[in-house]
Amino acid sequence: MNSARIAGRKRRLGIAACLALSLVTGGWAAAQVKVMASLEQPTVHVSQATILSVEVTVPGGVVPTPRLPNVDHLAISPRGGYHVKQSPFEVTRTFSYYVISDRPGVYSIAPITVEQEGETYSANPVTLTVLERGRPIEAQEAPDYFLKASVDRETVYVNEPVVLTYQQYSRYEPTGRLNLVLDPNVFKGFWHEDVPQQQLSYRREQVGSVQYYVVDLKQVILFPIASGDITIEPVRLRSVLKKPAERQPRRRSLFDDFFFDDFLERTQGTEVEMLANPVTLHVLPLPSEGRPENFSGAVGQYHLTASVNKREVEVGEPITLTVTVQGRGNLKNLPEPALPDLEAFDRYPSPKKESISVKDGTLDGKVTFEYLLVPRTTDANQIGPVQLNYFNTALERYMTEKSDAVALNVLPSARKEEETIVLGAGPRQRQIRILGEDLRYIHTDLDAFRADSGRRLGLPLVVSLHVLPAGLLLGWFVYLRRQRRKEADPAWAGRLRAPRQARRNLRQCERLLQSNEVQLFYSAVERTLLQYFSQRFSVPLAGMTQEDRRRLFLERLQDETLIGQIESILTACDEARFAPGAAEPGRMREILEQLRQILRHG
Amino acid sequence: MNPLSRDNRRRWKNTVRLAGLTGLLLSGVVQVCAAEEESLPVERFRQANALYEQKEYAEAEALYRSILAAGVENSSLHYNLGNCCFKQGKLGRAIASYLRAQRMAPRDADIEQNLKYARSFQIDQEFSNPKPSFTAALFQGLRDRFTLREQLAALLLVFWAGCIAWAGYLRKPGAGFLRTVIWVLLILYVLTGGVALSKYLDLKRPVAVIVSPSATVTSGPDTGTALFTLHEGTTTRVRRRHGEWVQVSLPNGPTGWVKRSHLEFV
Repeated sequence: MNSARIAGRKRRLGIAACLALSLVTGGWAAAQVKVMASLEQPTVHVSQATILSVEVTVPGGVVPTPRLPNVDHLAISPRGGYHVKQSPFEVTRTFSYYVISDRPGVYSIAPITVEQEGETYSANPVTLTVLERGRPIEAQEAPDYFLKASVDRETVYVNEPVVLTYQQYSRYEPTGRLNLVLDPNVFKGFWHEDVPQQQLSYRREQVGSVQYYVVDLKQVILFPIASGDITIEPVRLRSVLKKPAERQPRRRSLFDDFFFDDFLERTQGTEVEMLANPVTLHVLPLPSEGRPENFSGAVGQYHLTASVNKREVEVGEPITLTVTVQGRGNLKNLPEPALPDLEAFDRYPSPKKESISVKDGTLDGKVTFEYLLVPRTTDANQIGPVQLNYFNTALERYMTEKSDAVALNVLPSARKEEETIVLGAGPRQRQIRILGEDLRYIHTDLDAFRADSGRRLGLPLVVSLHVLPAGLLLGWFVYLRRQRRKEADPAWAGRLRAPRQARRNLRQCERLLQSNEVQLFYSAVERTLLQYFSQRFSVPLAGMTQEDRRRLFLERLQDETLIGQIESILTACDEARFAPGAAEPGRMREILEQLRQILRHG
Repeated sequence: MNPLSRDNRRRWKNTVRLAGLTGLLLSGVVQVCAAEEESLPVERFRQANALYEQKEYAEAEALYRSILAAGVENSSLHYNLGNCCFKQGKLGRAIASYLRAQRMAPRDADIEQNLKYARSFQIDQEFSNPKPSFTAALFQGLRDRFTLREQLAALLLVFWAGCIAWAGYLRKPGAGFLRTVIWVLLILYVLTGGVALSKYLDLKRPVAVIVSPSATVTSGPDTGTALFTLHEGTTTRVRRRHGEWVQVSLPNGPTGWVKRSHLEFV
């Protein structure tokens, strides 16, 4: 019971591991027919057997038996038994054979083929070296794995494409979990374009006497920018390889063998890191001999055509000149072709269109340049040849691609001829024909330039200019209201006027005191007092008797002390008027102070 | 006459005279400084015009731009800069400059004509503004034919006239004529204010012109799907910005994101 539970858990774990692996290795190749051959010992002695393994992988169904070649002096016989590896996506069966030879030599075992659904698939060739008896077999010092960087050629011209390839070599089967670390500065000195990545797959390749699993990791097309020796610095790769694991004796079930045995038990994923070899390119400068004057750096093989969308146009009517450059080379950085003299036209550039793909280790396709041309006059009846000078890397010389001249029939502008302006009226009326249209001339008036600069009406000013009249209006409203009340209520107006008038009179009294005008001073003091209270009570006090005045003060002020002070001042004034004497500045100042107190509190 | 009031009046007169003299002196100093300051842009403007006449358009453009960089904003400057750009085949930059010039001098026939002429070379003609209704056209006409400064000046004029009329009405409350004038001015104030507000909001919403030969408009910044392509000279409304990307919309509705480097803001 316990072991059944463990087996079930293991199966679930196996399925999970399988799914996880398939997710991680998303870029790994989908199942397809693959045939890979390898020798257990690539070098043997005469009459010493070695084992040839042929691994056949198919997407599903029955795995076909490989067909082996007949090689002279080489006996190949089935070893018996086979090994099957199955995943949800593919079935792999490994066929084993004994290989033995009776004569020394180097034997190539090829072709090993497999037929599946009418198609024939070949395995990689394997080479067996057979030595005479007694001759020592050199020890193999080939590494278990390495990262190879290689270029398709080592000497190129500036701007000539070169394909850089990164490949992983390993004795152990790769898992597809790969991480190639590319520093942005690796391709310094090059303009580069990635070759679209195919799904990753591996193949077998014999290097010396060692069979390796080879994975093509990445291909980049490099276009050198400058001449000289340029070294592509090594890049780093992290990869997980299926290294053989030590086998542990255990109970096996049919289900384990069928699906998961190989994933879980026989190999184990081991992460390794490898560094590519540096690659040095010798970049030649473009030859100066035969270089055209207007050469702008295009390298490759190109063909150029030029066409217009219409050949019969009117003056001022735009036409499109389309220049197409088709070929192979650094099309993405292709310089603009040299246009002919277009003095008779107004010229406006339009967008460049590209249709480029990566093909055979370079960029292939076409680039279309469009120009909007507007004939200014009827003389603009030809567009001369457009030309592109480039360096042909295949022929190693400069070449010039030239389009045919385009003939145009430029007619006077009918539209413009119909446009007229009528001037004048009656018998003096006349018409002016408009012949053409162009940009109006620049403004050159410096006074207008000066006047236009710096006149601003900011928000604060606008708000201020709103607030100001509103404030004035409000003031006007208050003023009018007061005026109307003054007119309607003279008593109120008098009360309103009394303090102001009193202050004015007080100042006059002060001046009279200072100038020692005794009579005038007392007279002014009396006037101030009576005027103030007359305005406050709206009753003329000047003509009143002393008793009436006292009665009125008692009635309105109700303050005996204050009334006493008023009467005292009025008495002093009467005395000074009717019995004038010498000036008494101290007394006068006292009276003025009393008057001030009364006006303040009364 | 009161001797005190006479003294006061004399003192007041002296103060006014002193203030007047100080004001004159200060304004003179300010004018001299301003004249020195303004001479440099004017001289550059003259030089740039001379370069334009000699068909040295790139040099003229650089000089006009240096005046702008000095903080001078002027319709003639933008107009001339637009001409320089157009002559060099920079259609988008020319249209952007004409639009700037038109904002400052909306009734200038030269600017209008050259803008129209430049736009006739634009590829994306289908994105032009749709024809508005009569009322909308009238409102747009009032908005677009006058600068914000002129509209604000008109608004202030109406307001002041309204205040004066109201002051008169307060003086003579029974005057029916003044009441009518106040109502008319109030309606005028609301209309002028509406137009000015619309103009202000219009100026606040930035406009940008495509200056690259073509610009792909995507559904979002950085990783959006390509929606459509705009070509040089097309005028767009800027909705918002996100790093190096700008969301733009066209008069007839389409919206998308375009790289900042493809645009020139007006």
